[in-house]
Amino acid sequence: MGLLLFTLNSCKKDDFLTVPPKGSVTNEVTFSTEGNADLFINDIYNQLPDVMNDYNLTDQYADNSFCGAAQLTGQSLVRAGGINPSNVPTGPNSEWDWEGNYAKIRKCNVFFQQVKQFKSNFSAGWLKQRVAEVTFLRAYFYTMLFTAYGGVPLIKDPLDNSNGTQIFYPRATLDETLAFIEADCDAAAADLPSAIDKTGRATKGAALALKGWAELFAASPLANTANDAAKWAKAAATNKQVMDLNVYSLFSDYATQFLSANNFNNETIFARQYAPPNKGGHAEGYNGPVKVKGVTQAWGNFQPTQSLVDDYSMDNGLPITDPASGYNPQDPYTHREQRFYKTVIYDGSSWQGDIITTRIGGNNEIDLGATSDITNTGYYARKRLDESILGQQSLNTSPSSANFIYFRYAEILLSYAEAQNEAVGPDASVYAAINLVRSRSALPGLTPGLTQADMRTAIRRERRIELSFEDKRWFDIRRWKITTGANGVLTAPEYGMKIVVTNGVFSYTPVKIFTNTFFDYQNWMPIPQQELDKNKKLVQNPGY
Amino acid sequence: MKKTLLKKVLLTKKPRFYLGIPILLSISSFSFANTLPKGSNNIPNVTLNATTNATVTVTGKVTDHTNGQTLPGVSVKVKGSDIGTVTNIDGTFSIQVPDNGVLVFSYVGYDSAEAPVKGKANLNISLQVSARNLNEVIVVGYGTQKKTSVTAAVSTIKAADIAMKPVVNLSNSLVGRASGLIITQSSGEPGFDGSNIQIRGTGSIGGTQPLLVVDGVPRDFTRLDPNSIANISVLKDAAAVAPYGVAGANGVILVTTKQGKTGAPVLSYNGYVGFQNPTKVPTFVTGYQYALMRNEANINDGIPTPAYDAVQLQKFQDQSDPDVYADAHPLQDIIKPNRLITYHNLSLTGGSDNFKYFTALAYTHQDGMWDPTYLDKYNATLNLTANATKTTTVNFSVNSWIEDQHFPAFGAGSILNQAQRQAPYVPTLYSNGLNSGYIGQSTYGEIYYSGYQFNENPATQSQFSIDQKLPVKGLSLKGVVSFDIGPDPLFNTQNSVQRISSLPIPFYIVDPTTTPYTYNKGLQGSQSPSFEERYYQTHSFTYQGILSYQRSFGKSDIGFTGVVEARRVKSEQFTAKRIDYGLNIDELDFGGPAPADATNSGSSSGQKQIGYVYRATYAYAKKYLFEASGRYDGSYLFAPGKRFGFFPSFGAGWLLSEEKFIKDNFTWIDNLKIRGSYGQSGAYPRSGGNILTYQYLSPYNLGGGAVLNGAATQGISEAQQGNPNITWERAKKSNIGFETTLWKGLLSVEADYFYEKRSNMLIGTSSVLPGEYGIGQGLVNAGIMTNHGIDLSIRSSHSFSNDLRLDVTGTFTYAKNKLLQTFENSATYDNPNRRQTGRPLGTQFGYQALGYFSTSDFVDPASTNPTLKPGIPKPSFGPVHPGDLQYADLNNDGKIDANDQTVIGRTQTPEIIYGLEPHLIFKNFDLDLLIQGTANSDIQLSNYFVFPFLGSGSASELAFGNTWTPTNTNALYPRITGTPSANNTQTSSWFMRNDAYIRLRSFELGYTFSNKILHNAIKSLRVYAAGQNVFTWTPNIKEIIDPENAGANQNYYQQRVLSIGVNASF
Repeated sequence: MGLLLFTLNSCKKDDFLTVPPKGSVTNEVTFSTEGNADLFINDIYNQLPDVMNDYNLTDQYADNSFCGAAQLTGQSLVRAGGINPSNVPTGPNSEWDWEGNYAKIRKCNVFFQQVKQFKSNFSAGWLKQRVAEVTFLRAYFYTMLFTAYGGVPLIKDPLDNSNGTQIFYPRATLDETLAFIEADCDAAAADLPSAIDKTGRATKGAALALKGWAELFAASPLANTANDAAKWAKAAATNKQVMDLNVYSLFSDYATQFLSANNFNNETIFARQYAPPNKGGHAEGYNGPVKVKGVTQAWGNFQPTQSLVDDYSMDNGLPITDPASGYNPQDPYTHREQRFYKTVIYDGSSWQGDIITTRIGGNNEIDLGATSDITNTGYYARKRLDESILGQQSLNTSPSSANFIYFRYAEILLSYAEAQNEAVGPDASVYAAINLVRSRSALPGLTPGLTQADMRTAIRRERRIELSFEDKRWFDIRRWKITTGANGVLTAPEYGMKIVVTNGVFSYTPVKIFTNTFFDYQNWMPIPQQELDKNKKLVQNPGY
Repeated sequence: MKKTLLKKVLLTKKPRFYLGIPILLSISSFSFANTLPKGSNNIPNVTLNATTNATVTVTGKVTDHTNGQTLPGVSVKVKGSDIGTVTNIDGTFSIQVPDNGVLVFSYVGYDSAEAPVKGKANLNISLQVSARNLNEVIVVGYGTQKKTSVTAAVSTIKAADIAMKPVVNLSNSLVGRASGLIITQSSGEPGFDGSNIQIRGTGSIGGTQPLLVVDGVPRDFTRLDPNSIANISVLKDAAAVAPYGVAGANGVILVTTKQGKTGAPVLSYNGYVGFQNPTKVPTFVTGYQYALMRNEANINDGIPTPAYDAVQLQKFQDQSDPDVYADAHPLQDIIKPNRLITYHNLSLTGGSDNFKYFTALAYTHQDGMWDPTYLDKYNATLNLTANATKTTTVNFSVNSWIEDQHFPAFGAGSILNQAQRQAPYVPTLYSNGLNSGYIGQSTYGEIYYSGYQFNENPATQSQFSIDQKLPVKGLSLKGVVSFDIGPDPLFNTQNSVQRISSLPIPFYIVDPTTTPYTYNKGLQGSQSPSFEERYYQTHSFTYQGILSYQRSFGKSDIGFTGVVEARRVKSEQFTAKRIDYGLNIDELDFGGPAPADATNSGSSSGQKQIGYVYRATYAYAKKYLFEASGRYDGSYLFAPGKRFGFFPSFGAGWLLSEEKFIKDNFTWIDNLKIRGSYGQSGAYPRSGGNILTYQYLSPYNLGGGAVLNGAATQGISEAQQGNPNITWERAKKSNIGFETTLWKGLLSVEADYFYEKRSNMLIGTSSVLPGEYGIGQGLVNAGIMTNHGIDLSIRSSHSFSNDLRLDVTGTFTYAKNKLLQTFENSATYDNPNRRQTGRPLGTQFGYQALGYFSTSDFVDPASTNPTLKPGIPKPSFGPVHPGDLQYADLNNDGKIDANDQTVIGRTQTPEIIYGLEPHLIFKNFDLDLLIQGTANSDIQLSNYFVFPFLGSGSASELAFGNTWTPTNTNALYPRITGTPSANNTQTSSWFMRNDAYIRLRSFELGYTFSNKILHNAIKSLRVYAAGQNVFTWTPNIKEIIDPENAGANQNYYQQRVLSIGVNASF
């Protein structure tokens, strides 16, 4: 026993207590080799919004989709006029979450700081390429903040309160924030390869597409309150730069470009990859039709509204409101344009070997009381979904390896057309760009000689249709400031299609299913209250 | 000596024996045998001259006069001789006595009794619990002390009080039985029903878990066999916890297991069979009520069509179409009544002066609310003590158990969530027996078709100790080596093998468009089975060297204990999973063939601690007591150079009842002591109850990276910004107490006032670090909080006659804390309504509900989006209508937002907890009740059962007819809509309830058969009925919720248990 006491006492006390931590390394190890530092970048790429694995989608916040389940953010908060500083919706996978994005931005800043400190461990080629990628990623995260909140604090180095430096920053202006994003994109574009990258890394095209999008947003009425045409011109020029890379083209088929077989086709500019089973996508289970062959398969979160369905033109290219279009309100789903059939599941559509019927008494009877996940509008969507994946399989094993595409070439064409139309009017290049998109879906070109305003209307509708369910509409309706006002898309009632079959005769009656509520000031998200509480230098957006 | 004896003799009428001779301690029930201070008054050495008389064999039984329970190990001696024996485990003895001899019965904690033989062959004796408890010994840190000389605040629980209650997890047996314990049991699920134990309330932000110690070693006691426990001590003040250094600030619970008793082998059987039912099951609306409420919601939502038309409503009423318009009550459908709980224990004990043994085997079975949930627990105990030499005692003990837990693959919380959510129009089972689904989930299927989870949790607590008396008088050295396999309570690591077989859950959806109806099959969960095995292993090694010295010099009693304790814990975990099973064979080998079908993961960790403990005691004339103790403690948790801390304490006591002026003038005072202590204790960095390791490091952690080039990658990320200066939390504890016994035990009081200041409190910076910072930081020693309160226990014992005795014990605990300094941003700190600093931790903030908006509050009340009249503060949670909740605009800025929040509730942990234990003996009957209650706590209700249709859910029965309508403006709940509006689901005073309750926590009614009936077939036999959570009264809550369940009512329901049992020995 004395021996035990002796043994214990003779140990050097601190040595005895040393237990090395498992599963972690130091910054020196992380940045000791290119291979290790690549792991750090792998984590930053992983911070891009994981849109496939969230059931709160921004199309539900906007007028494209009515939420399947009543409790989802879109219906219970955004379209109930309920956005407030204590309850900021953040989009799929916390796309524009304030703290989340600053955590991501910190990762980028730490990378820059550490590779500078350990520069000798890396080759010049690796360093140039990787710094450019991370610069692009930082611009991406800032763009998420910019398009939600406007001007934001610009943090360029990792903050450290242990060395006495400033950690409380005020918001930069809109222009300063845009300039910061543009500078990062330019720096990234200068050093990134222009060829299509099928590994999922950033390219020159991605950097320019991001810059063009940020500029388009900044030129739009929400941010460009003085309607400065030069801002539009800048956005047009940047989108034109992407077109002039001559790397991208429209994929032959509108529908299948989103499926895993066509990952990184020539239209894809920047996308997030998925790898089942642990890193697969859940989109089919979250968004597909609820009941298939009588069984609840999915959560049905893609529910096209009647207003979206009505925006699809006829296959002759005319809108259904045009008396010459041939549209029959009692036979609404015939002779519509191709993208309608590639996007919308309506009463009588086939899905996974079943005929989906949303009519009264149908197998997915329209749920007018919002008591279940079943469609509240009479529609589901099929776009971006892989029909070969059953909903329950998707929910439980995330079997999809389809990319989520952040930027594709069709958007570049439409963004160019929009910016160019606003900057100089509907010139030939505007027609060329929008008609290229339309012709892929077998639509005739737009009538020559449109006014700038008519062209604007045409481009906005084209953009809504072409990019539906791609996480774009919510940003567009805000930057265009069409959420509220006389025809505000988020103040008008939402309709669904009630279909009654009597003696084999179908009758179609649009019924009001929901009244949207939205306020003009909500076009900008409020800075979360807890951030204002912590950083007194932050100033809230007006109206909150 | 003679004078003393006479003074204390108390003559009772029948049976005739003498009370009051201070007894010789029977020290065999404690493991630290030789360090024990012996009773200072020995039996008077009376010379007996009548040894020439004939001898007779006297047999008999010794029982506790209070509760009639038999007392094993009672010393039975012939007065004035060396002849003696000890009672067996059933309390019986047999001894050869001169027929005119006198037997002296003595036992720890009881007054001694003498009984003249007078030729009788049978002598049954009942011993009174010593009114003065002069010789009661209590277990304290690293040793034992006489209760009279203790200057610390320690409460004790007698094992007999909890041994036979129908409770599996021992943490659930303690509530209300000792002052200073604040205990909440939030779940009744077999295997996961452990209570949250706080000693003297909340002392820190980081965590409040006390240190658990079994037989001197940090260990989990909650799964020990209740019949293998000898006693439980709760260490409360600094003087008591300082020997535990950094681990002691939240208090310590010491459990001591049973040792062998000298005597012939005694085989005992104890067992019970009981039935469990939930204390409260919320009830939901009928199908018809649901339909009516849905229609009302549609009207409120401005949807012109009713959800259910007249024909459908009729079907709900007449139940003519129960598969489509059902009247289902899913909770009642799945919860089975009268679920079995049973326990069987066989023990053997005995021994000689040099070798004693105790061994026991126990089996426990507990069924859950549904068939797939049940647990089996097997406990084995072996405890051997031998005097290897005249100066050497060796003890070896093993407490081991296996707890096999069986569950559906779906967790109980998910099942109850789905059962509460399932709308009543969907039957749980269709008329043809097929199970239904609701929103893709099947309540019944999740229980019966989801597969299983099987947790096998083995543990072995073993220790070997040698106690050597040294050549210096009073000095001994003890070494303890303990090796445990099992959960480590401090670091919350597991020791478990878990098998989880998840199956696709088939369910059926009725298709009413066909005639007859068809039932389409769907699958919930994965489309093919998966199987997972998890291995958790925790090994702990503890080494202790204990030097102790006890000696009296004249009027001075001196004691010293020094301890070196080193401890290391290793834990590992490994998990392997296979998916895509073609055939459902639940073995890893048979999973899908693709590499992606197999995943596995694992990690490991370790802990090390070392501590140097001392305790020095000095007593003068047994009246003036002084004590100093403390620990120099080191832990791996802190940066090198900052790993050690010193935690001293001091205590003093004054035994006034030993003073002459009391003895002479206040003879009704049997015992009176005042005592006080002050000292320091430490606490580990914790968050959410878990100890946070390596807070001083800024590590980069490995994790998942993006998918690049088609494959998942690894990633590395900055985990946190460490705080290299982190050190212990430090608690400064003060305690003042007094103990008294009056009128021979008619009244005993023990009362303590405590005050604690926790400084250096480890808190996170997230509430003040700007969101732009981008990374979390290690905890910082920046918080200060105080905690104060009262522990009180009062006891009254009275024998009305020899057949009727009543004991009543009351315990009362009050603890209230106050945050003095924490990280708080200006938004709350600058707002007096919202400031957390200066308020109790856990104070509930929210909106102050004023009532409902009325139609007169709106310009256009009938509009779909009505506008509030000018001057009425506008809520910022979306549009409001008449019948929605109106909140107070406390800052008068015309809008309701976060700045209007204020205190709407006290903490959810009660500030007051009390127990009342009447204990009645009438002839052969004994009755034990525990009435227990709490006060000063609030609970925020949420979820389906207060928010109709939340998450497409159902509505509680209470909500029907109790929601706001233009004609029912005084309703319990706001107007209903298809989904509850964000305005109404804000955390508000409207759903805050006073959570006070009174419970008949347990009862035990026993009957002991007399020896006349039993003859010699059985040595002793008692039968009893018992119950747990028998009746609960929540005066301030209309909703059906157990007051200990969380506000969402989705924890597995607490159980009411009624049981019958037997205690027998052979």
